[in-house]
Amino acid sequence: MADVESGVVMLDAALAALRGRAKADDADTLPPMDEDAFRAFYERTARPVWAYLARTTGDDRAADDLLQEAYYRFFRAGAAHASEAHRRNYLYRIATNLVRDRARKGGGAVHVALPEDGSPAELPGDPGVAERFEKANDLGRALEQLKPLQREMLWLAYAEGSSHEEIAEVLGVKATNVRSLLSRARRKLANLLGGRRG
Amino acid sequence: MARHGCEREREVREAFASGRYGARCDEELHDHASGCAACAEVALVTAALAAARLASVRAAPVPRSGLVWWRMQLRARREAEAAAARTVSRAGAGVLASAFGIAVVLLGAMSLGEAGGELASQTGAALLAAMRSSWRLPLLIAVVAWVALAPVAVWLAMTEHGGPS
Repeated sequence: MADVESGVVMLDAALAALRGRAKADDADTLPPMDEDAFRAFYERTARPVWAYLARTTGDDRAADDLLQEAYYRFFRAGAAHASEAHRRNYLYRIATNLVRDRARKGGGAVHVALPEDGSPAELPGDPGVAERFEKANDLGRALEQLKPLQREMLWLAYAEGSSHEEIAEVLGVKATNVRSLLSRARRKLANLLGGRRG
Repeated sequence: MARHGCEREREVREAFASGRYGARCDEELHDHASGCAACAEVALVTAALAAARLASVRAAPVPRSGLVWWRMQLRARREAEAAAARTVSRAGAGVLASAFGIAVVLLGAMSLGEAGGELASQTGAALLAAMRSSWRLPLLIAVVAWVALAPVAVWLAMTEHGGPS
């Protein structure tokens, strides 16, 4: 019985070590996440993260697996974060690394299928533009022809509204290169969508 | 080559983000984007990706937060258990390797025959004489006892941990 108790104490200590690495006396960082904080963070971020994983891998099932893995790695790291935005960027970085690892292991060709609910998603304030994308597969086919980094960059910039600094942090590229890389990727996608002017 | 870009690109992006672009947007920005290659690209790409994001977020089949939390706790506990079991296995392997090495040395000494035995006994007597006068004898006894008993203790511990559940 004493061995069982000591074993439980050892396991609890290991769990505490896995969780609580944030310095409690560091006033510039957010406190470590308890269950309530984690669940609130998850509620805010899970759907957008899933969408990011699904559109960059082209595989909804892969996105399901990668989503859970991303949150587990985020939780296990127990890293301290300066802000909610920094925490979010860290999560997206983990998700991006998982997508890249999967691609390196030959995780299947990219087929970016978008929800086929028969009607375009309404875009607030501009239903006319949304109608131009009546068939979501037009965008899906266009995204398939982009390089992985271009897909990631475009999604973060124009779907998530991330700044160049945030994109650099998430994708592990130099902030000074983001503008030019993004511009090239955007031009390529625009050409593929057939809407380039001039 | 002319630089492809416009200082109002960010304005177009922000207008989309806030839902102002289009019917409710100021016409001047809309007219500008219609005539500017860079801003037209921004409007086109932002509209497409924003619509795709909206659809994907609505359709995202994410599990409940409570389920995710519970699974993570379970997985963390299992990983901690596995790590503890690996530590015991490594320690046991090290002890067994040490005991094996010492056994080989002793057997080698024994196999030298009478001459070897004579040499060993002379060496052993000299060692014992030296160690009697210092603290090393108790240490030697402790080391020998540890080498002899440690493999048994590790074997008992490993059988207690058992295999994966």
